[in-house]
Order: sequence, then C-alpha cells, then structure tokens
Amino acid sequence: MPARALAHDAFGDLGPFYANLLHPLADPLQAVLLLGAAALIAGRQLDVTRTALACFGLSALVGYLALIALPEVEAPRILLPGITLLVGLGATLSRKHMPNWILLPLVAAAGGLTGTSADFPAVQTAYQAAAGTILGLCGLVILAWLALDVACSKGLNVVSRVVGSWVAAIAVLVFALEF
Amino acid sequence: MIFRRLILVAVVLAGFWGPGKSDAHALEPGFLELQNIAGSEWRVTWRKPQVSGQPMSIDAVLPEGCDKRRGPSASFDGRAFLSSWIALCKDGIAGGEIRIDGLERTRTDVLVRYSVGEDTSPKAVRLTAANPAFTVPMEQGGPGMFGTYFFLGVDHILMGIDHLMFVFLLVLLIRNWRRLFAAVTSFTMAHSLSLGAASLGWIIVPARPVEAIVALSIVFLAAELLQTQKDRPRLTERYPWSLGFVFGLLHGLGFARALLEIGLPERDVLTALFAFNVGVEAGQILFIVVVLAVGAALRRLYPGRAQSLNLQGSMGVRATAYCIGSLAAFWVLERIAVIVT
Repeated sequence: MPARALAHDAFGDLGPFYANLLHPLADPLQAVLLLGAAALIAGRQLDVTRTALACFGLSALVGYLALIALPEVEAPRILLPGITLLVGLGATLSRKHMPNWILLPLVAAAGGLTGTSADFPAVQTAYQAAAGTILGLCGLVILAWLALDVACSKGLNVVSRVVGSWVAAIAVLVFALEF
Repeated sequence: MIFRRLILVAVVLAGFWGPGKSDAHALEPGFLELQNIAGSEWRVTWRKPQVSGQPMSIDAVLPEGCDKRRGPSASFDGRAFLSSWIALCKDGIAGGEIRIDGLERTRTDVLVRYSVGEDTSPKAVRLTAANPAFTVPMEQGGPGMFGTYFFLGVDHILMGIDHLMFVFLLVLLIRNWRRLFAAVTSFTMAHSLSLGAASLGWIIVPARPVEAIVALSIVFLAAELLQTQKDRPRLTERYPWSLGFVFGLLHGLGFARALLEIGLPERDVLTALFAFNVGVEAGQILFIVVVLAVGAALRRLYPGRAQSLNLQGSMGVRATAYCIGSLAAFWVLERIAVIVT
C-alpha cells in the first residue's frame, strides 16, 4: 500500500523532464540546427519525409546515448556550426538538387549533433532527462516541419528556403565570431 | 482479435508500471517569508519541507547585515517543519543576498516572499536547485508579484499530470470545435470560481478527498472514451458545458490546495490569485495547442493510419483510454489509501 506522500519535490517532480524537453529553446545553435533539419525535410514526398524524420529521431537518440556513454569525448568545436551550415545550405537548394543519399546523412548528422548538444543528465533524474530530450527534439522538429510543410503545400516553397538561408547565415556568423 | 487484446493488456500493464507516486501534482515547496514589522525588524517564517519525517537538509541564509540568531527549534505541523523568529537587519534587506543552503542538492523549490519596508507590497521569488540564491533588488518593481504567481500557475498545470490527462481526454472526446471550446471555457470558469473561493477561505474542503475525486474524473472521461454506441451520444458530447463546469469546480479545489500551500501575500491576494489563474489558463492553452499540433502533424505524416486510429472505438482510442484510465484508477486507489491510512 502506498505510504503517506512525502515527495516535496514541488515543481521539481517533472522539472528535469521539462527542462530537457525545452532545452532547444534555450540553446540557440541547437534550435537553429533543428530548424534547419525541419526546413531540409519540408516539402518532400511523404515516404521520404517519414524516413528522414525517423532518421533524425534515431540519430538524436544515438547522439544522446553517446553523450552519456562517452562524457570525456568532446566533439570538435567546428562540427556543430559546420553541419548547421551544410544543413542550411541544403535547405536552400531545390528538392531536385538534394537527392535522398545526401539528404538522409545530413539529417542524421543534424539529429546526432542535436542529441550530443543536450545537457548531461544528473544520475537521479536520468530517465526523465532522456525522455525529455528525445521527446523535445523529435517533437520540436516535427512541429517545425509541420509549419514549413504546410507553407510548402500552399505553394510557398520559398519559406523553407528562406529558413535554410537564415540557418546558413547564422552558422557563418558563429564561424566568424568563434574561429 | 487475440493479438489486439494482448496489446491492450500490455498497454494497461504499462500504465501500472509507469506511474510513480502521484500526490496530486505534489506541489509542496519550502517557504521563507521576511515580513517587515518595524524599521529594521523582520518577522521570518521558515517552512522547511520534510523528507521521511525529518526536516530537509536545507537552511535559509538571510542577508549579511542581519543578525544570526534564530528562533526556537522547528515544530512539525503535519506537512513541514515550521519555525519563526524576529531578525534584526540594520541595513535593511534591499541589496542583500538571500540564499537557501543545500537547495542545490535537492529537487525542491523554495518560494521566498519578502517586503523591504513596512509600506512596500511584498514580492515573491522562487528559488530552485539551479538558482538557490537571489539578491533583493534595491528598487521594487510592480510586476514581480504578478509574474511570480503567473509562472507558478503555468508550472502547476504543466507539472500536474492528472490535470493534463483530463484536458487531453477532453480534446480526444469532443471533436466538435464549438463543443470543445464550450467545455474548456466552462471548465476554466468553474475552476476559477472554486480556486478563488477556496483560496479566500470561503469554502473549506479537505484536500485528500478532492484529489481522489480529481483522479476519478479522469477515470470517468476514460470510460466515456470507451463508449462506442453511436446511437447513444456520450455525456461529454451531450452536456459539454455542464460537465466541464462540474469537473472544473473539482479541479479548481485541487489548484487551490496548491496555492494555499505556497501562500498568498496578504496585501496582494487578488493580484496573486488572478495571476495564478491566468498562469493555469496559459499552461492549459499551451498544452491544448501542442496536442492539436502534434495530432495535425501525425495526420499529415500517416493520413490513413491516423484516421483509423482516431475513430471512435478504434484500437488507438481504446488503448489510450485503457492506459490513462488504468493510471487514473491507480491514483484513485492510492489517494483513497492515503485517506484511510
């Protein structure tokens, strides 16, 4: 039988879950990469979109697991803005010029990097943090894709390209400021 | 058919495996109040949460200029350890740092309410493990109290899984936009009324039974979701406004319990109450928008499957109803057990 409730976790009950869920909104480069991936996927055929989104989710999970398993390994600093730049440029290209064999690895790289850009979880709240991180990344990329795909389906293909160009421009700015 | 039933059983079992203890959105932070009573004297009230019957290993540290003497040892009031004393802060508390030692090692929050002078309205700040200290601003702005209670309201609804499940079931049950709007609006109006009445002490209802009934309301909606007779409309479809209102009254009492545990500032009761309520509403609307957006995305990605899963009596709807209903039934039993024991 349950004992008297002693939790007193107050707002902390699901705090780590929400903090990780919303992490991309607090980390500009992670958010930009996520948005770039959504712009890259938007406006494509449904089967390609499904594969690409699944690819993003799986690679985000792998990236996050790698972050936990190999905390001492640091990815080169150039990797995140570099991939962001490629993703942004990819999103500006016409869909014809971006075949699936380029699209999927790019999306996978973006997913993996967003996974590694998450916060390292505390031991006590690792499950909440993991659930929040993966759900947050997948949920936000799906919501961003939805918004851009709706625009594309209304004949506004330019929207995803504009987003892509902004993503690329931000990556260039990061290069200019950090290197 | 057998395969479907096996999946349903697995989903129900998953519902039992998943939940931890849910003390109706366990909203019991620590609480520190510094009320200026005269000149450089502050009445300090320190409510320290308990852990397994012992005071949590955190301590309030007042600004440097305040004397170090403390009150008598804390007394246990059934929920937390309470102590109170008069602190002498010759230079006042504005510009000083208030810190909760040890908070960074916990997952608890502490609400600090303070007034810098006799005539200034009290302000509130929430300290967390990530931000266990703050500096009392030299100039006291107006929106601080509103903002604090607004975010408390948002926090409360987003951390209250039972409330979110209730709203989620309403969204699943009522497919007609107007009826959904009617149900959500009446739910809002009703919980605003009961929240206000309970917070102001006009009605006093024991918290535990309310929590059990809140869980029971989720079981009811889950049962409604399972009803498949097309010639017999569900109660939620026939009376969305009335049902939303009745359940809103109950859920409002649950919100009030949370708000009372945090405490309302004596001079700004209505502002704090209003801000908390607006925060609850904002969180609720945010949740509904996210649910609808995710639903739209899934329909776009898997048009055929999403439609068949979403039909009344379909596998998807039944699995959702059984999963949430089982979880809510578990909460009902858990909360009744707490009352009994």
